[in-house]
Amino acid sequence: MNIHIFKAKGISLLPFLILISFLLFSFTTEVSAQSRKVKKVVSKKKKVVVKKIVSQDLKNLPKITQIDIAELKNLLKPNGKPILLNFWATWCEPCVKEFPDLIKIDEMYRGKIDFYTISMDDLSEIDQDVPKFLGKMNAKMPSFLLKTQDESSAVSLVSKNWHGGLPFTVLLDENGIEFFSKNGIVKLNVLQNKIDNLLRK
Amino acid sequence: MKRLSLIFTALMLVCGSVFTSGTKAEGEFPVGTTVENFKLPDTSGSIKSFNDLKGEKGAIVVFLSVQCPVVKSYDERIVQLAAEYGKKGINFIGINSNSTETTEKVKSHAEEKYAFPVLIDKGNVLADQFAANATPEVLYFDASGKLLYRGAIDNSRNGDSITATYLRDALDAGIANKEIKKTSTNAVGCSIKRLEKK
Repeated sequence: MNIHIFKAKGISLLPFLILISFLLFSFTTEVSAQSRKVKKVVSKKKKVVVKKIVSQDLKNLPKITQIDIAELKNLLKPNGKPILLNFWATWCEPCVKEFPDLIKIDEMYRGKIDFYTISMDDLSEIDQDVPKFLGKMNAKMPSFLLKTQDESSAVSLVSKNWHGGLPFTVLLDENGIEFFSKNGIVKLNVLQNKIDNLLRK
Repeated sequence: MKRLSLIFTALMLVCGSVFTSGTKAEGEFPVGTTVENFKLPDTSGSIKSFNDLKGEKGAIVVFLSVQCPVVKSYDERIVQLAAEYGKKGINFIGINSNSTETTEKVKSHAEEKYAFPVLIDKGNVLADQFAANATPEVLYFDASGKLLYRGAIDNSRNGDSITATYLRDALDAGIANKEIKKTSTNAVGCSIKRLEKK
């Protein structure tokens, strides 16, 4: 039966069928090659965009200042305003978790208190994870990284209530006397209340 | 009546201990304090006592965590010290007081890492009693249970630039019955995840 179709009116249809399928094949390959070209262009464009963002980010990353114990001591001396210090590290999960609240505190009290963050990360992170994280947080407060062979003494210097657990937050009055401190995550409303109370004094 | 008075005494004791731990200021377990025998379950649930676990020359109580990157960084040093000083009569006792870490996780972590027992401090009762703050933090007790040193293992979290081996120095002096020069340091690490007080 099938043979009858190919031999309609005595003419063999087989060469036509081969010709049509060849034309169809060449057409589809051309289309897919074109779509590949389009994709290539798109991905090239994407790459450029990504590159732009990265270079822009690197330029805008916050600058982290390395400090030792003597410089930490200076930082603890008030300049007529209360001081808020937050000790943290990128490896410290609760530190990272509480950071957005600290950004809010900075925005709320900028100009009224001096707020510094001090990272306890490895020195190798001073131009890596520390600025990357602070950049991501859009942190505007002055940021430091403490590097000392005697962290234990540095910890004692900061507060009698601190023994090294991170995060640690301490609020000093304008005379440098501790007004409030917290081991572990500090709640936004608690810190806000403490700062308000201190500013009202 | 007898039973009633027993229940009453037990209640008083519980209230008393809750009260004292609640009011205790942090850092209030200074060197020189003698520890009372404490009992806690190990990772398999069997109750272990300090007196049974301590070595003939004393014990190191080390506060640990499954997740803390600082503990991870110190693990190799902890294992090394435990093996070395275990032979000298000082036994290591790990404590996990983190409310965020499950017994299953602590168990598998301990089995993978440590040859010494790790005890579960539910409700951070022991951490409060010892005023422990961070992980890893160590307390070195002599054979009589007197605290000789507390704080950090050494002065380098990543182990790259150790210039002071606090714990090792304390142990060597303690074993030799010599004066320990530095009896306490602050251990920078992950804060112990305590149960939130209501």
